[in-house]
Amino acid sequence: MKFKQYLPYVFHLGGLTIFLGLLGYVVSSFSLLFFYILSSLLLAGAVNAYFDRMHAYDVGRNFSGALLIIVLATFALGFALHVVPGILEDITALQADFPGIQDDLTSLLSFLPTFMVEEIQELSYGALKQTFLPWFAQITQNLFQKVVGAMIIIPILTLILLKDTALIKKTFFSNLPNRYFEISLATFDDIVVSVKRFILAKMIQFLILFAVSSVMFFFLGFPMPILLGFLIGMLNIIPYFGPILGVIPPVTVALLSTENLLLPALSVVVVAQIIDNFVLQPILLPSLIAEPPLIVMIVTLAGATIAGPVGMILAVPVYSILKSIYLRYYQALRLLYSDKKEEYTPMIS
Amino acid sequence: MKRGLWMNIFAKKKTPLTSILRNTELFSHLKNKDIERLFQIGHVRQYDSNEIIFNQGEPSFGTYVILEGSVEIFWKNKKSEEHISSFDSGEFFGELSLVANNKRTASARSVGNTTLFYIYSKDLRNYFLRNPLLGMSVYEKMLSIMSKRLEILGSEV
Repeated sequence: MKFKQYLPYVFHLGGLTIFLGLLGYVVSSFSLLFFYILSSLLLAGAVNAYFDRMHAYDVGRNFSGALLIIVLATFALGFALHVVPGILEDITALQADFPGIQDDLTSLLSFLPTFMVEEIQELSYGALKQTFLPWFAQITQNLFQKVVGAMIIIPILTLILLKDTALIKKTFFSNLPNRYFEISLATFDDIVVSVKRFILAKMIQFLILFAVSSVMFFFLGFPMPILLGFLIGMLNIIPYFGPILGVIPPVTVALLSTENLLLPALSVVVVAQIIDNFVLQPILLPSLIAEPPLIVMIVTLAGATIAGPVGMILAVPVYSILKSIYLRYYQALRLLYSDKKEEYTPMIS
Repeated sequence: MKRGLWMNIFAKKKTPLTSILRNTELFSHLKNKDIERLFQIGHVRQYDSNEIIFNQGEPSFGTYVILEGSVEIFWKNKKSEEHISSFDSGEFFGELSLVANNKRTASARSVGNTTLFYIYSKDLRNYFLRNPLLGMSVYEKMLSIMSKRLEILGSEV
């Protein structure tokens, strides 16, 4: 192949890289806003699908809408009355427990000589009080503030999108040149399917692990069972490193407790891991974006370097999306510019 | 800024192009509300005279309905082009993408300034899955039109 034959590839794929780079910069600069927009888009898509399904059963739009609002309001009320107060109580209890930590440590280390206990107490208590526990409480509170913010903004955005999703999509694509219109539409569709599958799989994974862990922590007599279950569910979303990080909160609580809760804490983590690795992952993996383990680890570490914990969660889907965009465009370019016309294979069935 | 995004969001959408779509052979039997819904999932594209719409061998993702103007379908190799057929306002082409994800079997270009209505196969399939009776009637209509076209092509050969 002569250099001239490479030019279209260099031109198109180079242009695509610059465009994606700029898009990535804009998205990362306004990450929270894009999170709200993405969530609203998904929600609007789901509600639209529900309306279409009801329409197929000859149920009117007004009745479908009223039914949906009643069901959602019931769930929201249940969440606000039962789940939120539990988690807030847990956070308050965690902050109130600070002074008791020194006594717990003393009893835990009673077998050591007194001067060593005092030294350890000073070091560990200081570190715990000044760094870890405030950080932990701060992170949980920030998370809840964002969740509450999302609960107000996302429904409003969803309502706007529900009215005009098709129009917004059409306005965006109408500005693309005829030459790139069809391939861009197909690539956009690939991305929507990938993101939907990924989010659905992760949501199921989070909800099951959250429910199982919370129930187990509750029956084993742990303080803050809902918060601990929530953290195990959330941390497990991070591939490979999440399960290791998930051990820290329950073990910390067990060590600080006057009761002997270390073994039960580890047993909950082990049960959660068994469910995750032997039940959820084999069932969910086909619908998740499957990449080789080494790639997942490297991409996850790169995501952590670029955007911290959020980067760790988003690294694999972003990588898969970029891969599918480049493969789709590369395949289209080959069909257009190569002398050998090859069979087209769809990226996602 | 009459056509700005804000105006678009809250504007009442009424376009004469829906009436052209209603008069096409493929969708003539549909009710007004179904035509409106169909119009929402499709895309209107403007082509200059002699502009390539798609090339033979490209991946195909959807079908085109001609709203205004005409389209020429042709085969081409390195040396020459062979005219296959022409389509006018109200007719559709590229329909094979609705039944199989494949590549375009021929090339298409506009004859004069042309307005096309593009329907992405997956969007149409999803819409028909939610409205099976409607989907069946459109596919039946399409099959009958395609069989007529095959008859004509067969008689020419």
